[in-house]
Amino acid sequence: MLLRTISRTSGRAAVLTISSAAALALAACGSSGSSSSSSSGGASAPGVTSTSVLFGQTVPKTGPAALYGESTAGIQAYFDYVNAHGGVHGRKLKLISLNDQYEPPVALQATRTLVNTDNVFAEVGVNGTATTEANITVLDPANVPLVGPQTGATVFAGTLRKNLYNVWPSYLLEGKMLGTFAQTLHIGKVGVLYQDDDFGKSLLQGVQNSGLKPALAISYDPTQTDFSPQAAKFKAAGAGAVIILAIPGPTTDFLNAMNSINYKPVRIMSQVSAIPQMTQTAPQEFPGSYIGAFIPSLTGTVSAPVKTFLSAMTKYQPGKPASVFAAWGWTEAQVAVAGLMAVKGSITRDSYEAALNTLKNLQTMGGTINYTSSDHSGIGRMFMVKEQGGNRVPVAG
Amino acid sequence: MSRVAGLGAAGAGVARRVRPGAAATLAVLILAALFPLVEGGSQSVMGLATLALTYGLVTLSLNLLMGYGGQVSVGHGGFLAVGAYTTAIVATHFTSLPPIVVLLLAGVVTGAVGFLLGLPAGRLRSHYLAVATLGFGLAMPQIALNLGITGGFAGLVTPTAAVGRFTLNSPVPLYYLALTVLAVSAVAIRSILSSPTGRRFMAVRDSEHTAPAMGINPWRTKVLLFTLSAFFCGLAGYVFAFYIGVVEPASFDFALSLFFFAAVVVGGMASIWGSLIGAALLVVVQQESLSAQAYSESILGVAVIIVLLIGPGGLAAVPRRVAGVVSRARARRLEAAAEATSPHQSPAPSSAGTPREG
Amino acid sequence: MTVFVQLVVSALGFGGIYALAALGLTIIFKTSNVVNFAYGAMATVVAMLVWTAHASLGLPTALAWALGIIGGGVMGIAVDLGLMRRVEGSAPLVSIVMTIGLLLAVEGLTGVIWGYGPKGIANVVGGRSFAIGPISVDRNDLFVAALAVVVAVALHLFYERTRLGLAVRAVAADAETASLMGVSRKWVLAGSWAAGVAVAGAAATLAAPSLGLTPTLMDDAAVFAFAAAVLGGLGSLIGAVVGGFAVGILSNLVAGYISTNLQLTVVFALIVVVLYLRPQGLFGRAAQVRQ
Repeated sequence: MLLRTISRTSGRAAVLTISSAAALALAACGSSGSSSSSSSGGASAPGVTSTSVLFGQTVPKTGPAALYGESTAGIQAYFDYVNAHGGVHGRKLKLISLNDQYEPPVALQATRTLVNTDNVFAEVGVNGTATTEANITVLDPANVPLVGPQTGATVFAGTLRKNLYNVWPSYLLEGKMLGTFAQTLHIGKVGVLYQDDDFGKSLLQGVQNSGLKPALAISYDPTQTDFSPQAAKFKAAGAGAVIILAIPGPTTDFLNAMNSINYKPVRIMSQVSAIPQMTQTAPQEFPGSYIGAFIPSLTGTVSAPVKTFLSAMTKYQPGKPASVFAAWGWTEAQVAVAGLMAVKGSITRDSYEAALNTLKNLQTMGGTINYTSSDHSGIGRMFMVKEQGGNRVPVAG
Repeated sequence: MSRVAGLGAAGAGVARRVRPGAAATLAVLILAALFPLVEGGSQSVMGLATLALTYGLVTLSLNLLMGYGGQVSVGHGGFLAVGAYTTAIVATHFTSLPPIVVLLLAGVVTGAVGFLLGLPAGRLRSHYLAVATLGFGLAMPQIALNLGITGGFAGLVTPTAAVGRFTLNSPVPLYYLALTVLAVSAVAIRSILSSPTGRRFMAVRDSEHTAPAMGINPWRTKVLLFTLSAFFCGLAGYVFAFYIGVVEPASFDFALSLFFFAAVVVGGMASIWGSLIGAALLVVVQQESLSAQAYSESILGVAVIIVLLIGPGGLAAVPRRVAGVVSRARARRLEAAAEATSPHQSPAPSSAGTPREG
Repeated sequence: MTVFVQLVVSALGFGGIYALAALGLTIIFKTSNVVNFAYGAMATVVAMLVWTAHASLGLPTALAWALGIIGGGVMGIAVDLGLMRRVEGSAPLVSIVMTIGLLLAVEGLTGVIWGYGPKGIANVVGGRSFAIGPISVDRNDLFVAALAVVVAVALHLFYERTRLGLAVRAVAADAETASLMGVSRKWVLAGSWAAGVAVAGAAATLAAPSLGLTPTLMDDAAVFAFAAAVLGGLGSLIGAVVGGFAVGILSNLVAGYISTNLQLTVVFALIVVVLYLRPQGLFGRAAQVRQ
């Protein structure tokens, strides 16, 4: 009986067994590639050959956060620019960028792929706070350096990690600047709209650190579409200015909601909130807004570093937008490469980190970087701009 | 065809879709247990396999609810969240508890939440039930975002845990943990399904109106279904907490619930193997699409569509369809032979036609 | 009190959008009992088409709208005939998961084709909001709300008073008999999909000016639209309208008085309570529950 059962079902069973084994084998085959070793050590570090150095990045390429994926083009443009000028220590820079869909579990698996399968030397420009946290659960034990996570959250900016190097200004710094600026306007009541997560709350903390006491601080849920309640509340409270600590989508929505009820306070926003497209998507309320910035203006009269960036983008990444997101990537890549250039002797992860720790007064497009072995803080200075006619004009003070 | 129970009907025949039998199951288990010897060095492959096992368990728990129970849930990510958060919270505050206790707690707490959800949900059908579960799935991460004990937006770091000298936070032991939890759960679910309780589930699934005539209370049965489904999903949450390392609201978005929902149908309703294969397939496809940049999302979508076009019964039905094709071909040859010998007989209609599902 | 009235008035805009989107869902549901998860993504494509026609090709607004809506209709028909027909013999859940695959595929391709940068698109009705006492009323909000009601009434008249509408209802009730009377089930279903996508597409194009036009435009709104359709009772036109406005107003009131960051949770909890008391939704027929 047993034999008959086995033989009757064995056909289907065989198919199933084979298919499940095949599924896992597919994963193994597709992933293993050339590597059976994930160990570092030995003569050369992972990701470093005599002709190249390989960096990795996880960033959203699809979904609501896909705009941040434009940073890849900025990193790639800088790498191409450097390669065209001889590379670093005679080696070309290479980048592998994977789509993490802004989801931590996907970012985790993507990082594992980069570190264990693709054997990247280091990571650069990883995007997002939750996703970066997922990345470092893989990076920390393997001591893989990460330069320029695209976040200013205090969990990175305020805590020293041996292998993590901040480039962005911290959200505390930015919030403090926004709060200080609001006070210089001498407006009686200031409201604060903040996203209900690490990003918004860190910025809010920064605003409060400036000594500003908001008349009203309202959060919102990232999935919210109708911002009329928040707008109505600020209006009813008589807020003459509103500080907006939100990502572009909700910011657009909020600006339009304020317009709907004929409410136009002074608008102050984080550098993350404002993208150039908002001149079209929020045409009534975006112009005239004050925005925090560390990346200088990319339009109008531009500085020399920005010119280099723009022409490199045109030359090496034609068709890709030279947006503020690409500018983030460029700046982060500048730091990553500077560290590599400062390496003396053989290139290993340890020597790379030691070299990064020696960077002093490094001028990047977004500001100055100073690292020591006990301080991996990002750019320490930001400034305010005003949105006027599609350009960002610096504001004094 | 029948719209019985709106969305959940699968038909009793479906349950007999694939039963590989003890020998084949054992073979697969052995292969799975030996797998790390081959690939244990690659964290990436280990991680992928662990994820496939964990998601497989969630999909299985969802299939218990949908395929065997005839209910709908578009919010199982919410149960996974409850299980993972329970794990992180308990392990952080009660560091001396042995892992097995924490594991069971994760299951029990999630089961309790499932019970609470089942109370109102048991009164709802089809699309209305879908909305209720959708709301649940969306609400869990939002609540976690707002509570202090869950760590708010930053979430909680999963503490280190060990079984003997194996730390669960490292890839190979975690893989074995996932495999063990899945295997034990699958056996448990199997025995539940062949017990009188299981027959109650299927009775309610197939014909809710006549169930009371058999002495079955549909509402109570559904509440039990939700509780059990949530329990097993909670166990998966325990493993998931170790897998992701940090339990935070961002890990449990709506896309995750849709993933499990799709995996159940892609794999095959009312089929244990189907759930595991469906989950594994989608995990692998998603992984492979990551390097495709902006095409990643579409690739996964197209994969789901293609699988369903080829085999609407799901992957688990493929062997039977293949068998069906083979036997139909054989039947046709016999008919042709019969016709050749006796041309006046009208050919019998091919009865091994496409099986109707649901 | 002022805040309360303002919250309600401001909700008319999004309430109208949810109502329109729910109406589109209802049109499809009346004939095919399918929940279309790809709904929001397909509606977004319509908005993208309108934008392309107007902003990129420079066509006048009305023509751009027409092209977009027609494009949406064609897409609906293609999806129905090309994909949904193929799996309709299987369990209803298969069709639904097919739409999940479609959601990923359509949204992904929209991102590839049009990119993720938000595009500006003007309101249909422009001009500053006018004031009634301390309350501001947005002209476009009023337009959208009125449009939702008009579309609902038009659909009602169609289903109740025209021969074609009668034929559609016949197919929904009993496809075999309907075909005996010369009504093609295939084309009724395809037509329903076309109409459903067209109406939802209008909703998306109306929402785009406030939210910024991106491939994920309708992601969050679609969830509310679905909840609205179910709250109102699936298959009921008046239910879709009432449900849409109810969800819009409710979420504003919750955000205004209870919590801005638990909005989704509270709104859904309330919907579940209503469904618990009335499992077929506000206006659904009790018989619907048996399906």
